[in-house]
Amino acid sequence: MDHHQRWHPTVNEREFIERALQSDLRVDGRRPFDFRRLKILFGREDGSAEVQLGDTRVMGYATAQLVQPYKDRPNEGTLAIFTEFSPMADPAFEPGRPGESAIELGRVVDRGLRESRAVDMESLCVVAGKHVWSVRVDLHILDNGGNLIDAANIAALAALSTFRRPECTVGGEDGQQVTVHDPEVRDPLPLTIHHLPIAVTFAYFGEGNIMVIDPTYKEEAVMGGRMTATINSNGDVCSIQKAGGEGVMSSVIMQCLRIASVKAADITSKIKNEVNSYTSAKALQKVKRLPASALKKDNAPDVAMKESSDGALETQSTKPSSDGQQIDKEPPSVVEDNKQEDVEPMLSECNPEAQSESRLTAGGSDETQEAISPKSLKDAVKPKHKIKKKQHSKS
Amino acid sequence: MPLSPRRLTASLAPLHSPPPPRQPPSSAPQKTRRATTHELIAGGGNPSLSRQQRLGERGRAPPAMEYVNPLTGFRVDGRRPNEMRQLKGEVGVVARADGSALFEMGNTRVIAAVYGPREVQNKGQQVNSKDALVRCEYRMADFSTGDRRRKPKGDRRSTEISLVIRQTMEASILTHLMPRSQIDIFVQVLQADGGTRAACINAATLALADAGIPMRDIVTSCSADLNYIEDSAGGPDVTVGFLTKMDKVTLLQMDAKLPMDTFETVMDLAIEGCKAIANYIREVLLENTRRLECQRDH
Amino acid sequence: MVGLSEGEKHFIRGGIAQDLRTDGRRRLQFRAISVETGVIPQANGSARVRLGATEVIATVKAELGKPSILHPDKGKVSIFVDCSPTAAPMFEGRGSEEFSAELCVALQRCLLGGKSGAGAAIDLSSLIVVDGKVCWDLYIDGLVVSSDGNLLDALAAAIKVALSDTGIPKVNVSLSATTDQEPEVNVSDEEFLQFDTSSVPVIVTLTKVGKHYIVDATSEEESQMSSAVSVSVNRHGQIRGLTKRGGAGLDPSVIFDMISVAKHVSRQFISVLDSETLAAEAAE
Repeated sequence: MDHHQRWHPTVNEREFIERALQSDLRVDGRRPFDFRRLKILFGREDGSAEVQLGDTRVMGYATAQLVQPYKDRPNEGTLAIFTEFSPMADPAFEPGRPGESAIELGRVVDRGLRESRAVDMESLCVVAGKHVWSVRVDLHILDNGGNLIDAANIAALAALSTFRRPECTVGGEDGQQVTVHDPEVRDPLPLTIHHLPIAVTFAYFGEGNIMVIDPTYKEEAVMGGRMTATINSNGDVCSIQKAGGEGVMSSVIMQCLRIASVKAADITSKIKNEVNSYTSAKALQKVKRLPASALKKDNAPDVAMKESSDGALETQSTKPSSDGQQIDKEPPSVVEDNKQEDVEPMLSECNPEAQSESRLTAGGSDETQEAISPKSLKDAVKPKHKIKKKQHSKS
Repeated sequence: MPLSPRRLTASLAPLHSPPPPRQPPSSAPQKTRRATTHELIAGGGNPSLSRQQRLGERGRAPPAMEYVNPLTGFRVDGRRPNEMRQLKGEVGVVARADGSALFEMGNTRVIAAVYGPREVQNKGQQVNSKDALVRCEYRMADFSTGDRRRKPKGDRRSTEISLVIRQTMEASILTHLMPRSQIDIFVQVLQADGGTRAACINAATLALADAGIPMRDIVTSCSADLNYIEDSAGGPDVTVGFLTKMDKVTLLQMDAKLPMDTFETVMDLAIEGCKAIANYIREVLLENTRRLECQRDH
Repeated sequence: MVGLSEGEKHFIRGGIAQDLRTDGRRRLQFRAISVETGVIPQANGSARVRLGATEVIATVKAELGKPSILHPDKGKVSIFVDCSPTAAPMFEGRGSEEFSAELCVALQRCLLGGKSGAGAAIDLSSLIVVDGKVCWDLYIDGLVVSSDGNLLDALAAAIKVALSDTGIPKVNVSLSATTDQEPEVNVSDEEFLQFDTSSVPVIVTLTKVGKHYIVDATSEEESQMSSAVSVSVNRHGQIRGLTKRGGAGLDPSVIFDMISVAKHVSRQFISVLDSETLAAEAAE
């Protein structure tokens, strides 16, 4: 039960918001089906992202550790969403036990990601029945400006898209020994993300006849009902949550879903663009850290990187609503691989294994593809750099 | 441990020989309400089963997965794909509550009790003084599932279902008629075999009507899925809460990836189910009123 | 919990003093009892018992487990009780925990015997399948659905009926050559073993209101009690457990008196319960 008090509008405020909506006006000047400004910022480490949706701010942080799998799913990794509603974000959030809304938010984001199998779970298996990767996404609500679910969902997707898990190999006498490689020795691997399920929340007013998307905090206080449709850019419905409240006609629901699929395509390309520029920036950083001598030596990969990042931008601009599962973009990645092979003889530690892996992930999704070019670069850079990091090894 | 394949054949056997007579599948769902194999065993309606045989069906989880037999086109429990499970509703099952009801959908069985409208017990919870405060708690009995498991109270799942039921019932209760008062809805799952939240909403509707709480419409709920794989198997599952007279959807929950037009078909199927349940609930309430009338006359 | 006016309280106490309770019963008269068996099909045994407006459900679930190292020749029985908020709003959330635990402890004392399992109402050695390897774990769950006083007696009666309703599948063990290996067990679908429930007791609670004590108190009557003694008695008239609740002290002679009355009342109660159980089994 929610013991805390949410902000309540005065009678005048309530009327003002409702009247304005009747003439398709919203208090912040948006049209009914406009999202607020979406900004995605990435942290220094992989797998951390902060999403700003208008005044709403949510931080997503993905981590992973090796665990024993569930008995009924011995060859699948796990994905769990945890939410943290800081009292800083809203005086209504009390510290301690999560409230109803926190639990609902966590479960809606969780279902949208897991039930639609957005993240490939089988590729997170190391030894069937023994060791699998358990990915955990922590969502911190930093500021509640309304529509936390959509913002939290984008934060989770952005965090997962940039997350890299350490590589590990199986060996030993019984073939059960797991070695987790230091991220400096072997490049950490991205997750295989099949598609991005985007949550789009609708607020209903006035007996379900008026609806808007992305309600603000004030609109949430006035609305009679709410529906969150989680949908990907293919138009597949991944999850719907309308937990009671004002009733709406089923035809209106279908209309909402069509609107949601358009919005989902927009947000998908926004996330992908941001993730791409983050990964290329990260790769550039690595290059800059190279000593001058190495740079001279490794001219080739530098060129390769530039080409590939340009290529990435091109594909993005020609295909604004490209979905995550298209495989027809394989040719460019093959070209990259060829280039990489050209470079290979010069490198001391570029292992063939890393290459085969990049081929495996190629075509899986846009993110993973784009991740290849910096990877080959990183391989080139690696022998010159050795930063001490603690070894996550688990036997 | 009982083995699942044997369990499946055991429940299939009585269906294959002889094949039961069927009506064309176009008939309305409410007409096709009938006892299924499980229910015959569960309800003890089949006298030909010996006590030993009945005991044989005990202590087992219901089949983990129900599917359509490709040869006969019937589900494991003998239903046609779009056939609803047997419904049973009964009001006044908890003597001391202001309103109460039992609702069964196939093997899923829940009890709902309503206390109130009464004075707000914890003033801090009162959101505004113009509407009644509606509260809800959903609880599952330890023995309600096939494998007995002691679950902690107030886990994430039950908290969410409590919230969903509360907001769904709030959509139909005329809260503005009972300011400064509180209505408690408690739902207890006795047997869980898929669609518990739908059964809870139907039970809560009956209990609220039994308590004489003013409602703008009867809200009913039904789950449907196109692949006919039931809730327990984790297939696509759509739960709809429907205000029948207003023709509006108040509750809609769905997980699993589904193309949009397929989703529409499944949602429409669930809405049809809700309408049939609403008819049944009206029957139960009318029957109850007639019974009360008789009691008054005597 | 029960809001009563002074007049109502006086009426209840006065009625008990005159051996005519508010619902027309005498002091040592139970309310009408109704029994249903096999109400929860996924359990091995189950029963619903109604005592007036009090309604409880008890289930018995048997699972194959491993016996404890201390008692390799005995199975395990555990009892849990839950009070559903449907029974009373005070059981909402964690509100039921304390009360459920109290009922649970009282039932465990009457049914489970000592630490070693000696003197338990259910013969624990009958639950063993393979010594030290495989045994049956019995889980007894009580659920209070509707509450109008005397929950303990109702729960004990429901558990007794549920146990007599329980069929434990016969287990065929094929012992492998080496004893170290896990034995293969084959759970039979056709053959079932039934419990000997003759030593499973019922509980009769005598509630002291004013100078007199009553059986099967309603919640209104319970709100007026000064103390209560719960006596668990089996079919042979043996006392298996004794619990006293409530603050007021009792003279030892009164307790002895109560025990003998409880023993007398339990004989009638068991015979009513037996005939109801038989009728319920026939109806099933």
